[in-house]
Amino acid sequence: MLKSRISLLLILLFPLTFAAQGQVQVNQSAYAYALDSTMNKWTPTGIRVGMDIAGPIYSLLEPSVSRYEITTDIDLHKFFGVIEIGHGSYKTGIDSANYTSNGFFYRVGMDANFIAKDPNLNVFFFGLRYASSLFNENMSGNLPSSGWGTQTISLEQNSSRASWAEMNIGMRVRIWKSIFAGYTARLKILKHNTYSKEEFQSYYIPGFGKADRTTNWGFSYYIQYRFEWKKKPIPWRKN
Amino acid sequence: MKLKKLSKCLVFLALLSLAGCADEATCIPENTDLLQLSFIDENGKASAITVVSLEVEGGNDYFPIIQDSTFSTLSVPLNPLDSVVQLNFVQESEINSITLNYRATPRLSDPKCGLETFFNEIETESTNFIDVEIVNPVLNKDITTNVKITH
Repeated sequence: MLKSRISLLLILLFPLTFAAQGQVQVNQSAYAYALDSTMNKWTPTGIRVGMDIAGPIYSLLEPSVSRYEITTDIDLHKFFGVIEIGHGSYKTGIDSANYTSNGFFYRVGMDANFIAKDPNLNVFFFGLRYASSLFNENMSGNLPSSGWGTQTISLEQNSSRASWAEMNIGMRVRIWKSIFAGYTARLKILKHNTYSKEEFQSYYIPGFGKADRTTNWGFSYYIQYRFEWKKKPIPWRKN
Repeated sequence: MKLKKLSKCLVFLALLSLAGCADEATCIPENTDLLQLSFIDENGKASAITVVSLEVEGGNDYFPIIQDSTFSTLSVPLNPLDSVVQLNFVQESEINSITLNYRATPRLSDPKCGLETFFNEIETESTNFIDVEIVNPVLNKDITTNVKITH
């Protein structure tokens, strides 16, 4: 199982090769031109919208988990404003225990692009996110007890909230015309839960993962389409 | 060249993230439902107590767990569906009681292991012992004493 996951990841990381080969001069680029001092470099030049394919692929490997998300970002010179919205669920059941969790999550934040001079508008970025999840859970089954016999429970916990911060690193590569592909690797930290009434401990938080951890890793692989209304002025250094 | 180094770094990060997915369930619970009591005298030294019986009341249930016994430590099971327990130590000449409040939170320990209960926030509601000290308000297998009772 682990080997197949590693192979899959290496395939997903393949666009790095495209990035290495895709260097063109800015004056040959169909997407960018050299910035000069008269231009307002902060004027947005395009937005990208897309969807994550890592979540659905992971669901094939782990049917108990599902995650679907869409993303959009707006190009602001060396930075991108990012909004990501998704739905996640977790379902498990054995003879003595059943648990489900499902809900929506979002992330908002900024990415700083380290290769802002790339005329193909490829991106290698570090980003920060604020993320939040609103979810419902159900738990039922048998609670073992030393002196009181086995106790049967059936509990639900609605409108639970969790928020956390993320440090992201990733890249986007133009693979064909306006279509980009690339990944985001996430370190999720500073989790905070809010319950209207804590009937039981959460096991899975959509967008975050296992709830008993204070930090989690995450991985998304996006296919995106860039809608651009003008060429992007990039800070190209003239030789 | 820089991009190659960067690629290696990112592949390493991605593999590191996979390592986090490789948890194996051991199904050995860290928590317990047994409240650990220790009995001491007024000098703080271990002091055995002799009872005719020890009765446990919780929710709608009531049962004796010990009869005609002497002990200086005791484990008492807490009810996972309740938040209060009363212990009645019936001695030859008197009955000493202690009522404790607690919080019991069910949780899924692991999908392969099933449910368990996490007990915490143990506090004294009432007692007629000389003194009751909550040493540790969380039930855990590594904890030897939750409550010290001076008698």
